[in-house]
Amino acid sequence: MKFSASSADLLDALNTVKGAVPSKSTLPILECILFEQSDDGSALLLSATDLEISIVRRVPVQFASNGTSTPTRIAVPAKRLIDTLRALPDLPISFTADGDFEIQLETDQGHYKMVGHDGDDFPDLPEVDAAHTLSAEGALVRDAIDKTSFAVSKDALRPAMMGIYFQLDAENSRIVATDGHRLVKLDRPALQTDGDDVSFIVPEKATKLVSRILDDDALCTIGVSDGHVSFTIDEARIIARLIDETYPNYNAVIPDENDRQLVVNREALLSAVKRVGLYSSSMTNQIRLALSESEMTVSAEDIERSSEAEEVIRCEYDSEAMEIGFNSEYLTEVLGNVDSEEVLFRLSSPNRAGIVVPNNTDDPDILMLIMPVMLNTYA
Amino acid sequence: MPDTPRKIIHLDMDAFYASIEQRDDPGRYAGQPIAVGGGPPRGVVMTASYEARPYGIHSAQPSAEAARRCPDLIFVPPRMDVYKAESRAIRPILRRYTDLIEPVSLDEAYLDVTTPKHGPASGTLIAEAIREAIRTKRGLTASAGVAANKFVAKVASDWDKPDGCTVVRPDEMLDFIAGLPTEAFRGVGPVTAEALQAMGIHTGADLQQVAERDLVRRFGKRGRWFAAMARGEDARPVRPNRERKSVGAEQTFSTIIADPDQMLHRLEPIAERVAQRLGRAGRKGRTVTLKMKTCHHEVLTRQTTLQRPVASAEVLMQWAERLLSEPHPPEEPLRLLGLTVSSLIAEDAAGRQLELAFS
Repeated sequence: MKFSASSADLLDALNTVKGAVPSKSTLPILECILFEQSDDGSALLLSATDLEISIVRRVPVQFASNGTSTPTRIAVPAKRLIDTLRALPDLPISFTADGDFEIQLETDQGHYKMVGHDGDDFPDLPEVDAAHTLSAEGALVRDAIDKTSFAVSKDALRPAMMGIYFQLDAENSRIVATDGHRLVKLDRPALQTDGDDVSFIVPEKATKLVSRILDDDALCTIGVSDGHVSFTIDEARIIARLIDETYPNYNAVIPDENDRQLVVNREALLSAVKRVGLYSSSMTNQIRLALSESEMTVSAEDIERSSEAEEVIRCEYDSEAMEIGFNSEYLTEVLGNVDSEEVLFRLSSPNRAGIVVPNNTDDPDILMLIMPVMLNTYA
Repeated sequence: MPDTPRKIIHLDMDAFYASIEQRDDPGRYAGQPIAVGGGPPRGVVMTASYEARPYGIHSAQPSAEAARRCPDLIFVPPRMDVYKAESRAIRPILRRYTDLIEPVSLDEAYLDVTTPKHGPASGTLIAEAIREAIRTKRGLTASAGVAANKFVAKVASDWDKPDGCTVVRPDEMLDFIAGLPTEAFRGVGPVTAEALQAMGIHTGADLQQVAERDLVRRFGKRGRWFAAMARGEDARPVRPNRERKSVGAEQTFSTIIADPDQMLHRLEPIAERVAQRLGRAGRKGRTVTLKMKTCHHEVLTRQTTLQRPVASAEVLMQWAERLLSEPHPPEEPLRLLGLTVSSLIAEDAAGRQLELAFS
């Protein structure tokens, strides 16, 4: 294989696929990126996989036409190649791989040699025989991922929750994530299927990679087969093994009788929670919200470090005074993922889930739940 | 030593679990020899009432042996929740005088009352007031030791048990220590006592006289500690936040084990024990550590930190299984397996993150 390309273009493409390269693997070839010529010979295909998630990206390059075509597939050590290109200015480079899998990079000022692996030993990437496909604007898909991914669980004993749940049908579509402490539910009517209902759980890592490479105005095509999902974006495609679990019944935990309403300026509460949270116990991150009709007191204390903080902010609250505790980090993330100027909390009691929605929307497309932290009432 | 002597109280409830049972069901248990714990043949005595003690019944004794020694002994199943609640109910009585309270267990605590929140700065008066309040408000008795440090206070609380209060004034302290057998010193068990005897040391007075360097030569760091205790130098503060840092259990096997399935099987009773200890301490933990000692006496540990704290044997086993198999099963046969849970938090207490109830 012999081609020439701009080092910057090649690096850009490598940066896309490197997200799937495992940092350490029992299979050394996985630490490589597969280079192969596209079927029509017009472009280079770069592939990387950790056997769960794979990324393929197409790069237009100039292949040499003088017959030195063996091999047509070669696995190139990812880290060394990327580090080299990153250290070069943007200039034309020539790439040659020979039958012994020796790789030569040449610029007009130097040359670099490394040894790769036989590309035929690289694992085959899964074929996604998509039973369902849908397309959406990149901005829409990225927003859905970014607003939910913070709530994804890291608990390996609850694998179903370790991904984002997509529940798509012709009428409406919901995107859900929860770790049992927080829950986010998005309604996204624009993400609709061509008729069939389809639901699947995408591992969090795959959603992060999709979000990273999505441009706002790119078109994202989602294909779903029995075991896999693919996201095709321009010249790149991300394929992930779906989490083969039943997603928990999230509707059952969304309370419908939370009748204590609290309206507060989102930015004001968010910054107060961030500041006061610095003074909370590092074990629990517990902060206390003391609610009254027109103001709320946000406070925290850390007995071990003899520190405490308190702020008072304005709010509108329509029920009898109540104190409720939250993990300040969880509350920060919840408030940070709403766009509205004001947020509405619908609460019931200090040991029940609180609902958080943007204020002043009749039909909010985002709903979050946050579970409280038990307050020490004797203090 | 600090310039002004501290005033430390060691408060020790008398036959705590048994006394609570006698108080709560006087018709059945008052004045009777009872033992809280599992009955024969498998059970162990946790606490014996004072009526049972003349028969030689004591805690940690197999119930079968206890029943043999005292045929009239009544075994009472433990009600840990009640004991925990009682311990919590006593806490405000102590907190009236000081916030420097270091609970050692449900029935034992150190208090530093050098500068009390309330009343005169007299360790003796405060100890008596606390004992009186526990008697009238809770219907239970406690013994107290008052001294300038934790070591002497602890020995003193045992001096006049049950329902006694022993005060060791700073100017009496050295004489008091001189009269103690070496076994009374913290860290001196039967083996160390024997080693001390071999050096001609039988009492605190002997310890006060022997050169510290001889103790250090024989016992290392512990020798220095024994010498300091003998001089009445125990500067350990009363630490109000003292909490268990970890709960664990391990088992050495009589034969080495090579089969991973067998290892898992052997881990089950260990996980059970850890779960029981966590339950008794009212704790859950977010870090699980698997300890393995190979047949070559090499110790390996694998650890994981969790989002949701564990307390049950079942969940603990799930993590133990993962730790055992990832990244790969142990390559060598093992002679010991252990499980430890750390990063502990209180199970029921404040600060607990609540969970959405997915069915």
